[in-house]
Amino acid sequence: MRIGCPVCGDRDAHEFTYQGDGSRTTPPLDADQDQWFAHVYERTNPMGRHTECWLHTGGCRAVLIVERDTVTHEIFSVRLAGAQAAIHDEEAGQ
Amino acid sequence: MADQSAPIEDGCFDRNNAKLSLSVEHPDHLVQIGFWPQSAAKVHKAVATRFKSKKTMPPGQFVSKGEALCIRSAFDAYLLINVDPVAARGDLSPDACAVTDLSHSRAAIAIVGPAVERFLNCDIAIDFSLEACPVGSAVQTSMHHIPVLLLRHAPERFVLYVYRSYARDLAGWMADMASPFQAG
Amino acid sequence: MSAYRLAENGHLIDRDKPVSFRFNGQTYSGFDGDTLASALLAQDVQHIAASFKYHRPRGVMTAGSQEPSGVVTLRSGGRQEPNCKAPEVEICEGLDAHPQNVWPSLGFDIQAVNGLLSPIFAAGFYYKTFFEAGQTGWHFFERFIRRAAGMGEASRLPDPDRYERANGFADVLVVGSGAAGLAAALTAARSGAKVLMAEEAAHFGGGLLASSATINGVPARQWCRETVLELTGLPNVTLMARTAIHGLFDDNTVGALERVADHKAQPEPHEARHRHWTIHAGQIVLATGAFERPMVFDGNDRPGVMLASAAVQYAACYGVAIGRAPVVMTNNDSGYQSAFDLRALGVPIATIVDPRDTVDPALLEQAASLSVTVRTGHVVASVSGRKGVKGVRIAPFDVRGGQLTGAGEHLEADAVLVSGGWTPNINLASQAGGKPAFDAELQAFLPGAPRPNVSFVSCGSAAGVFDLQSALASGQEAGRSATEKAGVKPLTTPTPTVEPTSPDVRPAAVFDIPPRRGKGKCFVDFQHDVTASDIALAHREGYVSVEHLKRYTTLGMAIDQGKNANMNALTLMARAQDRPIEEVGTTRFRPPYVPLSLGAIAGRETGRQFRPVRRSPIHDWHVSNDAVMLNTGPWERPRYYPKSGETITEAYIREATTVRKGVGMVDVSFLGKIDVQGPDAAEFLNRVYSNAFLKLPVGKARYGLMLREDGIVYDDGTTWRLSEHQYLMTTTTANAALVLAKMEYWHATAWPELRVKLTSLTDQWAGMAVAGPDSRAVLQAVVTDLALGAEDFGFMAVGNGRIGDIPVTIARLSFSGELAYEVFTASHHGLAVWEAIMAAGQDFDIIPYGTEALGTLRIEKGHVTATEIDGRTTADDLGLGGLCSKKKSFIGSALLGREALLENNRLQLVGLVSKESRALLPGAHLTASGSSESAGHVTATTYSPALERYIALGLLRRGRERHGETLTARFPLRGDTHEIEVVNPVFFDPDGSRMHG
Repeated sequence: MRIGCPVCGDRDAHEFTYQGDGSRTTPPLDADQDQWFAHVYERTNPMGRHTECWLHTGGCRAVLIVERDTVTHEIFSVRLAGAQAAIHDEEAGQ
Repeated sequence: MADQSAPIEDGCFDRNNAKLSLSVEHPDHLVQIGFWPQSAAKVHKAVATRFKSKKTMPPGQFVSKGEALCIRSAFDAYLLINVDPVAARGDLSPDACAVTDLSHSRAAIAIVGPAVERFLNCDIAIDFSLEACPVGSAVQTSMHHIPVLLLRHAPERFVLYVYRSYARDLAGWMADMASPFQAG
Repeated sequence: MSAYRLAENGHLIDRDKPVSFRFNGQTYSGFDGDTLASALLAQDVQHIAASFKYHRPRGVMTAGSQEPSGVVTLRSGGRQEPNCKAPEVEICEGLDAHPQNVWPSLGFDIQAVNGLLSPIFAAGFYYKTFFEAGQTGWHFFERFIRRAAGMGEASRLPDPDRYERANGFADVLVVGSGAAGLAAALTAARSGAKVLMAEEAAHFGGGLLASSATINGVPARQWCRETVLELTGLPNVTLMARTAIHGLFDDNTVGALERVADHKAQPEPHEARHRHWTIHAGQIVLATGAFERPMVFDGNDRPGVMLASAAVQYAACYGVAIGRAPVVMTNNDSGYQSAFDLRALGVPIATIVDPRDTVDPALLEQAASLSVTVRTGHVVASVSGRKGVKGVRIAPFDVRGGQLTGAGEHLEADAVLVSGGWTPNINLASQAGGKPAFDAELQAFLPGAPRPNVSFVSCGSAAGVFDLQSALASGQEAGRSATEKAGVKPLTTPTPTVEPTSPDVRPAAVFDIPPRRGKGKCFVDFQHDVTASDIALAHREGYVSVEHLKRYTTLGMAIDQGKNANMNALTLMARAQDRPIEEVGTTRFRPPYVPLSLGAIAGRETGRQFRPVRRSPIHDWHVSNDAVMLNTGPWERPRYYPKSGETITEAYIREATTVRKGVGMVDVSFLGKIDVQGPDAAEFLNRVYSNAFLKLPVGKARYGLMLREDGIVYDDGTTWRLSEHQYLMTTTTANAALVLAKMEYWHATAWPELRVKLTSLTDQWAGMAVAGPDSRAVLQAVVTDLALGAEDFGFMAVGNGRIGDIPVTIARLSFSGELAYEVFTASHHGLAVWEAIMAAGQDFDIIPYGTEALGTLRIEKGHVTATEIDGRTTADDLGLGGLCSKKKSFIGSALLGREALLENNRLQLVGLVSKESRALLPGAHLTASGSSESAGHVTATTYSPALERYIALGLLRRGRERHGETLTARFPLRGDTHEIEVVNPVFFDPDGSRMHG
């Protein structure tokens, strides 16, 4: 499987480390126990299109949000997470 | 500065020939400049001024001015080689960017010769042909499971940077990888 | 004599270059270019192997890599390689080949007696016989069974050869170099695309090498030669022979095995034997050809029974005739072409047998003109002979009923050449694509469509296009479309013309000849000795799914992976179930398509290079000072420094004692170190640590505890504030990479607005801890520019100084519980600083100490490490509850308050003292007297020089309430019980006065 890192380009999957479900947002630290419980433990396990978080550990170390089909491994989109994303979007717009 | 011990002995690559030659390099400084969206413009300007470049480089490229190199290593970071940390910070305030001295954290190995691309492809699943990886490319990847940075200075010349703690092991690995190219 | 060398023909051999080799202990002579199969056949050595289960005499059945029967072992010693297919083995001077799975010899194989017991050894033998024998029964017999059945044996000696891996890139990868493959490669190459063509065999050309057709007026193999020459001359083309594509993976990533040196007596110095390629292809053209299909009849496994096209290959390519009186059996027109080709090459063919009643008159005419007898409506019902073909029984056959209709008559023969139709090789296409589609005319499966994230096109006979002219056109079109999809403008060239038209390969649906009276051995899977009756038996016993049939009978599970067996098996299954074949379906195609050596998979990652090693900047000093090293993950760390003749125990006791009484120094460069820098660095630290960090002053360090999101302790370390915006965070060695990744994750996904940069400094800094009552004095003797007196430099202070010319950063921290300092310096200076401190410490008898003594010291102080931070313990469990701030939220704070984490019955950190004056065992379970229920366990143990007792840390339910209790530590695996007393885990200096002094 190849993942298209926005910083480095298309790279082999073994350069990346899976970081978990990318469709969830971390609640504020002072959110209540129920919200944190849902965030830490509750997952759907879709057979098909899914949003994941990957870290480019064997490359530029960017944190990436990847939309991928868990059955066919087809990748639909890769975008940066974090502050890099804003800078990337700014430069892409130019 | 006195009293320095290098991670790799200069003589550890002893089979170099015209096809492929590995040698240890000693960059003076390696400094990372990390910044944030609010300060990106300021940092780009400072870098462009120092390196006399007209445009902001995209990640994956580097430029040089004399001995100094500037690598765009991420959207929010530059790596400067042979520029000391004080000079790297210049007029940029700590609010604008984080300057991290990494000068001792890497070893550098030059890889030279017509066999460079095939040599790198032993381990690395990246197309190093000139079309796909032109001179001026900065590639962050891994070799033998070890993160490395590769700069292409010329069609037949790369310089590889690796974490100091892995350096001796990677040098041994590279010497072994190189041996078929260097035989006969 | 049946098989022999022809006086003419054999364009792959060089008759001027004889080569001598050994097989089965005897020396033979062949020619340069011969395979082991062709060279042995030329000497009429047909019986070269014994079958897997029944030890039936076997010879080669094919001329290619799908060979199921003619399998041998090559070489000896560390280079011994079993299961080599004789038609693939290129002979070289000194080649030494042996038969396998025979005892005592090929000629006299005692185990052939298995053949007599064959009714017992039918399908499912092991399952049915040993179903109720139980484990003991099975294990008793298993030993004998393993020896009695099998393929070759692997060597137990180290393999002296070099194996490599490499990556390749191409716009268009062409798999297979037959007519369609060459046509595709030519189109793509001439268009300027970057082309890589991989051919499994030693020579390019596939079926063209034995074809009697002409292409553009020249013999097929000449066209092939000219095409290869053109391709070789183009700079954008790479041709790889002896390279089998074994797997087609996502995103057009392809695995290939290049057999670099198998055809040499041994590899050149520095040359690999095998190289595994991972090829990244923009587009893939699958020109993988087709296999001729065997037929199932009594005695179809005898040496001398062969595929018709294989016999043509042996004659055309190697100048070998497989017999003087061969009989051809074919259910399609291509068998006739093979017969005519053989005749033209000098091999006498007298009889063709064809189950069909009606045959193309042109073929009958041609046969008649060559005086070849054609018996239509007839089949070979059985073969006589054991180590070779002696004769055949030709009998009338009713195609409709699928049965013999008469006893027929005996005919003398020394070879049977069979053409049961043609099976497109769809293995790679099916690995990466959808369900294959059954083509009723070809009676075979064609490739399904590719999955969404692979892109390939099949062409030529692999796609069911068998006519040579059409195959060339099909290859050109595949090359054209692949080139275009790869983003290169394709060049069109006219399709070459072929003479004559290829024979029609569509077969009559006759693939098996059920014997009269049900007797006889009709093989479906030659490699695993699976017969037609085994398939019928499996069906009767209820194994109706094709996946079950495969596993129950082991059909298709040998090294040929069913290439010769699957189609016939499916036909028999379908008939037994009275269902169409497409409903029966196929089993899943999986990589590798050909066997892969483990060496090729490992490449150079063997021995010392198995995984990367990390070393401290001070490493060489440790080694030259006799340190015994230990691997912690990738790091090599000094474990202890034995003085002459010391055991590990004596060494660590001496080292720990010296630290408590005088001074010692330990290398801590291995610790994870992270630069946390930026205007929001303090806020970031305050969120990831459970204890307060916002107000840490510049020039101070603080112990930091990090939890997981679920409230369990994750990691700990110290963080030093170097300036207003810059912090140095240390982590445990083992978790360094994980903690950095976790923090980068939180930063990017949860708090992207925080202006902070996280960078690994593990390699930038060397660190050494100087510990013991004399540590201050030692450092005062060597450090300048920094006042280290007790009033100037208090506990947890951080400051910069110099040792000689070298800048150092010193923090007064203690892991050992003694007065201690961590001296950090940029790593190129690490060795110099270490040596300077050692020199200054000579007056104080300073010693180096390693991880063993470090462990002793920390256990004595109740400091927790990974043995207690085990992924189940909370801060409170470890006695660190006070470090979880009640005044802020932090990672883990929300879930920390869950009921189960606050229960009073939880495992809590305790100290344990042996009452038996011997070492406690880590992992032993703690039980109250009279109880066999575990109330906790021992986490880390040591002899304590400070207490002169054997002690340990442990986790015990309600441990804090139970100080003073006597418990038993049980280690059932060693039958050990040990009386211990529960105490406070801070065994030594409980008020910490030594490190705060």
